[in-house]
Amino acid sequence: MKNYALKVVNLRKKYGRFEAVRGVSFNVEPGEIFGLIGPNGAGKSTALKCIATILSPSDGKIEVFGKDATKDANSVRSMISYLPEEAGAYKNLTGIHYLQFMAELFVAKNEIKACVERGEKIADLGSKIKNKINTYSKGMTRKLLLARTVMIKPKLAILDEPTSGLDVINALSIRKTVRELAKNGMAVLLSSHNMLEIEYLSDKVGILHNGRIIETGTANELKNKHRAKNLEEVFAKITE
Amino acid sequence: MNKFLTLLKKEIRELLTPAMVIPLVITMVIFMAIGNLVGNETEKNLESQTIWVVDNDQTTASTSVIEFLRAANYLPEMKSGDINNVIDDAKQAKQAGLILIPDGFEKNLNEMNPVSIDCYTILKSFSMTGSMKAATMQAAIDAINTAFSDATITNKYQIDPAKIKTPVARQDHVIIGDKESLSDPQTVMSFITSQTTFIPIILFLVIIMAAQMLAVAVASEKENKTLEILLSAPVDRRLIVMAKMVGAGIVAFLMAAVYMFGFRYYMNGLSGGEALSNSSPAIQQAITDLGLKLTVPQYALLGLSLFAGILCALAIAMILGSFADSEKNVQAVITPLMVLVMVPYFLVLFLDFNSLAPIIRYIVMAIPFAHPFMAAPNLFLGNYAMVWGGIVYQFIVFMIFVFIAAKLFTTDKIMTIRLKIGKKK
Repeated sequence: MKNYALKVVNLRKKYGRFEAVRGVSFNVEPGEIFGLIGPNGAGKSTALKCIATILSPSDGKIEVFGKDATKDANSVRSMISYLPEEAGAYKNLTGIHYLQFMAELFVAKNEIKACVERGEKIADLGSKIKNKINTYSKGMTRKLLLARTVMIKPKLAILDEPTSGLDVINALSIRKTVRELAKNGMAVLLSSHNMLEIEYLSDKVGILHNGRIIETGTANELKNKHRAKNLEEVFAKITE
Repeated sequence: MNKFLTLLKKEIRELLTPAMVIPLVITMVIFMAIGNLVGNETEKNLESQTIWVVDNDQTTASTSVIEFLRAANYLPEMKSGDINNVIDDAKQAKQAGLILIPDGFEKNLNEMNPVSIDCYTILKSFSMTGSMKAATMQAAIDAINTAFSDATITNKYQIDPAKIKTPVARQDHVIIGDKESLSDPQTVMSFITSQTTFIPIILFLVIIMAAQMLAVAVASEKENKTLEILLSAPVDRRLIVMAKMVGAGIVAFLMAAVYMFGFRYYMNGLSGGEALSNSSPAIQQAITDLGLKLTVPQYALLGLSLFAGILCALAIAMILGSFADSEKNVQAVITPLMVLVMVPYFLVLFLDFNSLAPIIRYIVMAIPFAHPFMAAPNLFLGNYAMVWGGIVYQFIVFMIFVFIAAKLFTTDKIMTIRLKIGKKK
């Protein structure tokens, strides 16, 4: 039996009568970047929140390295790291204090120093790491948050719209970081409504529409199958 | 424990910002400055008052008026000339007023005819110190009347004027619980008020501030999605709840202490120093007789009751804050808590709780915050059962709300509550 970093089987999530995720299934292998694409409201963020143990699934199963995300949430939390879409940070802390705070929560005492140093390097904010976060631009905050997410060396990083609202330079920098981390063995599940970004970054893609995954495969597989130039065309042809 | 301290440190850092500390310090300084200013003005008003006197009679009786004023601690200053000119001069000299003794004053007095003295009060302000100046004239005339009537009685009947003016003396007995004292009830009430006024104000301030801070902390974590990061961390979520509550509690205590320091200065200024001197032997005797001085165990009970009230407020605020979509909505969601604090606060402040209809009493007692407000009076009255009962009740309420708050955070309700009342993604 294959050892998946993430195994999602028939995941469903309802908010009252509204079903945001309607039976989603996919797998992510260690060291793989899996991109969930779909328009706003497709259910990407809800699915990611369920995998990040923030929301409880209404039905279905989520396993992270064989651990059940519902029954053994604490074990799963020690293996994952989640970056919410358009998340902020504690504005009255400095960048370095924020990394220190998060390291104290996520890693053992003897690993904190090395973890913060790693975060500082990934954030690449120079001397501004010592400034208060309320002085940061959106791009700087996002880089800090990405650094926070991956500095703890999670087995699975869950990134919701990691480059949303960022300029080209900052977006490129974040994409480069994600690629390097995956090369070092970290599994990455990321979502985006920017299909070109997913095409560039992901090893495998799942197209989510109205709460359901309607296609899965590598970007090339999907383009060939639907005779499309890019994933945007694939999506348009599937949902026509 | 380490993770709890990490979370607590973060909460305090987030709450104790310059944006919060600077207005707090400025408010305290303003309170102290106003208190000092008002105190100085009040002291000036309490000093011997200068009163201008125009004596158009120039007799022994009119001279006596001036002597009587002096005996009553006034500083009469003689003026002469046309009254209108004297009034103009008084205005220029910022005098509070002047007295005109009319021609024929002594003659009418001796013939027991109606006699009047013209009092001119120059009102220049309608403030509290302004009204104190206005009262000066009335007090001066009262002093003159007392002196003249005492002199007349002594001269005509050769007896102590008090025997005629107050033939029936009053001997006050104050009873509190099973203790009795020969003192007047007004003095005792003033003492109790001076000792207990600050307790409900402190409690009110701490509860409102702590609840607001905690609700804002929860709402802003939800709004900024920092809560999502915390909830996905390998941390017991009950620690997140506790750290938020303890952090808000510590900062609220600090703020309340600063406010109270400034407020005490302000109040002292308004009352012209300590309202009641505890050094007066009569008051000391009454306090001892009636057991009105709280002992260390009584203070401990009072503190326990206040602490339990604050815990209840924090637990309720934690839940209410979870309903807020954003910081802007916090005020709306914590309004029910404000009402629950204000109702017993004003009831205890203005009404005799025990004289309320039983149904209203039970409703008020069901509000956990009513108990710390009533704790001090109950301790003075020796109602220990009420105090202990209130503390136990508050801890039960606290446990219930903490359980609900922990339940909110350990399930995904903390996220979905917002989704239910906010816009859906």
